[in-house]
Amino acid sequence: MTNFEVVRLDNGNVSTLHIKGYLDAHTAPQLEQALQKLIDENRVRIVVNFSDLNYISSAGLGVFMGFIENVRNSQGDIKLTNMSTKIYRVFDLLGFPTLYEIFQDEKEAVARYQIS
Amino acid sequence: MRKIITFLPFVLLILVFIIDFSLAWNRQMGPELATIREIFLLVSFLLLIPALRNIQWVSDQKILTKLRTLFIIFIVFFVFSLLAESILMAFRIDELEPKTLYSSLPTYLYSAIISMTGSALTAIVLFNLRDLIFAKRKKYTQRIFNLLLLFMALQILLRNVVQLYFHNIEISKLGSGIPYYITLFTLIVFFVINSFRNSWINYLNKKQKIACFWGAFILLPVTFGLSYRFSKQELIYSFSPSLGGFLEVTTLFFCIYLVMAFFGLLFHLPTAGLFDRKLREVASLHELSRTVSSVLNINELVASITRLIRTGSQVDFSWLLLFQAKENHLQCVSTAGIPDSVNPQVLARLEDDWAKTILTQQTPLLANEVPHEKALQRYLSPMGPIGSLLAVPLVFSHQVKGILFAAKQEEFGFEQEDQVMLQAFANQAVTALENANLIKQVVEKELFEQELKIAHDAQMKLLPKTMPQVSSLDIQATCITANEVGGDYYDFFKLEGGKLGLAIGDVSGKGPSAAFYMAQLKGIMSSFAQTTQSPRELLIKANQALYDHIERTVFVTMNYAIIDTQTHLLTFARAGHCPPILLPGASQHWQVLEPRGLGLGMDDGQIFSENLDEAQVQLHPGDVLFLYTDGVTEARNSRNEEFQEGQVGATLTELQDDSALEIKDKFVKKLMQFVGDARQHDDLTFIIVKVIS
Repeated sequence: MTNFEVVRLDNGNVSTLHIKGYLDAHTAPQLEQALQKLIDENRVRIVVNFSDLNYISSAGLGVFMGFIENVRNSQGDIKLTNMSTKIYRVFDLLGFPTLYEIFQDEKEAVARYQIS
Repeated sequence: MRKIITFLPFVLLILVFIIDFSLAWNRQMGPELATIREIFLLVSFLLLIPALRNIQWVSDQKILTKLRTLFIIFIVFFVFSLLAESILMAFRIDELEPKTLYSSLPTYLYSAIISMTGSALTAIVLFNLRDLIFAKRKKYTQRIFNLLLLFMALQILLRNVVQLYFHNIEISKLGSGIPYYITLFTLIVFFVINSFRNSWINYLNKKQKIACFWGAFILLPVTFGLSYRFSKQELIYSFSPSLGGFLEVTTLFFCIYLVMAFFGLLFHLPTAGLFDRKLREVASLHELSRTVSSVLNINELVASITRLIRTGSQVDFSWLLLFQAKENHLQCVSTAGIPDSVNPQVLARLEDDWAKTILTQQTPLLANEVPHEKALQRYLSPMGPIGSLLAVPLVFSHQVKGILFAAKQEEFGFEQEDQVMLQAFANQAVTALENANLIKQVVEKELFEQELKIAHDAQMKLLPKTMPQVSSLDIQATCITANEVGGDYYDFFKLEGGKLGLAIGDVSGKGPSAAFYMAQLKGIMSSFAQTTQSPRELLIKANQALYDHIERTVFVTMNYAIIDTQTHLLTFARAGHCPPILLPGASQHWQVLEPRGLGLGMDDGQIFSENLDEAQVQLHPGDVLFLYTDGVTEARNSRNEEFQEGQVGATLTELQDDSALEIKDKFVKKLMQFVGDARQHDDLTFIIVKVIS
């Protein structure tokens, strides 16, 4: 239940966070820490890969909402990728696609950054 | 009666003076009259004794005051007796005959005054001696003292008999006669027995013992000298043999008592310091026990511990290191005597072997020659020169919780006993600390649970208590709360034109803040519900109202539906919430109603309204509309499987023909069956609307 992991990979000026396991109120702080670190290092071009994520709660969703404004104000963004159908549905029901760029694959997100 | 007693002594004295001046002066006083005169004197003296007792500095119970009084009286006696020599010489009175009492006025007055004041002072001496003897009273103390008084009286009486009837001048040779010697001997025996009662010495501290010792040392020659002088100076006895006798006998008693006290004090001196220290240590341990049971604040407790060690054991420095729960390294939590320039955390860095030994083997450390041990010197160097160090581990449940240190600047400052004492201290201290910690945890838990309960109760109060009564609709709703406070909300609004508004929502997150937002939401909904018949419009207004106050990381999902109770037209909008399920009465295929919509509080308005659709559906009798929160679809069993939308739809289909109430109860039962033993982690909320006619 409380198994969660964040793996960070830096690629040029883009950083990718692979989140794995269960993202809920207990594990959300780990994700917060990882995002905060990126911001502290001024690495604001962020991609979050959901391929190994099994579950996300409202607390997990809240984490993104907490950082997005800051990141975008620094000319960065948080792009979400590789969601399973189930996870995507959660985001979709809430209307996240209107506020966040969600891609099928990480590559697309990274490519997006190169354009802008 | 009282008045007689008050005046009688003075009457008697006057009578005595009359006798003296009229008869005795002319040597016309026979032994019988002398005896009567003597009785008058004695009676008046005895009657005046209670008055003496009432004088403040006589009756003061403090031991030191008594000792001081005795000292002063005897010095006064001594000084006076020296002066007396010169006075006598001045008046050329150096004959030692009783008859000379009446030979001249000066001699008479001299004798009278000395006898009376001397007797008064002597009575005070006797009172004080009595109090000292009775300081630590035992069973026979009173009896033995009374016997002493008895024998004193006998002795004085015999002396009188000798004086008056045998006119024996050489009293200093203790007269003659075996009865005299026997009583004298017995008297001295009783003096000695009573002199053993000097346990007041134990109540003095070291300084006081030394002062008394020297006082006694000075008084010894003084009192022995006085005793000798009294026996020589006849004029004291010539006025009144009894009073004079009383003076002499009491002085003898005092001498003997003084000798015993002197030796008692002498033998107490070597251990006086140690004795004092023991008393102080016990007092400190006492105070620590009291503090331990009354102080629950950890900061106060640790400060008390180091302070008490410093004052109780006379060490120069004391400091306490404790393991802090989360960090698992030692921290210095309290110091005493350490200069401000020293950073306490430096003392928490223990890297050397001696420290490791204390921690792993749970044994104390006693080092009396610190300058010879380099590792210790290094550690202690911030505090200047240290000679001896004592460190004991604080052990609780076989675990080392910290280390308590005591240090002195002198070498060889600690003995084995001190280590035992400090360990006892440490054991008390660690118990106290564990208690304080435990209580803190319990209090925190209590508070937390109280908070939860308050939030939960508040949440429950905000939900509707009754179902709306609409003739064409059968409506039921329920909210089954989980242990943790959720943020589920539902409400009903009777609107103009026979319309019914239904709202169901979910504040993200849990705990008291979710309940708070839920309350806010209810307020917002209640205020806007009557202002519009468009669910979309209402949600836009609600979003505007919420967005400014709500935290960035919190959002609210909501479904708002308006049903026209006459036409059965359903209009609704979905702000990011679980899409409602519609089970048409005519078929068994349930549908999901999912118009577009963002959650509330996620956007400041423009994107929200651009992406919010309003849908309309025509309902028919037999239709079942199911509005719910994600607690239902995400309900988990012990195998971690979720209930899911599919099962919701399937269950509703099964229950299609039942009344709303039946559907509600059976649905809940089905859910509970599914969840089984697994813990419920979110509120289960749903509304059932069955269209009747």
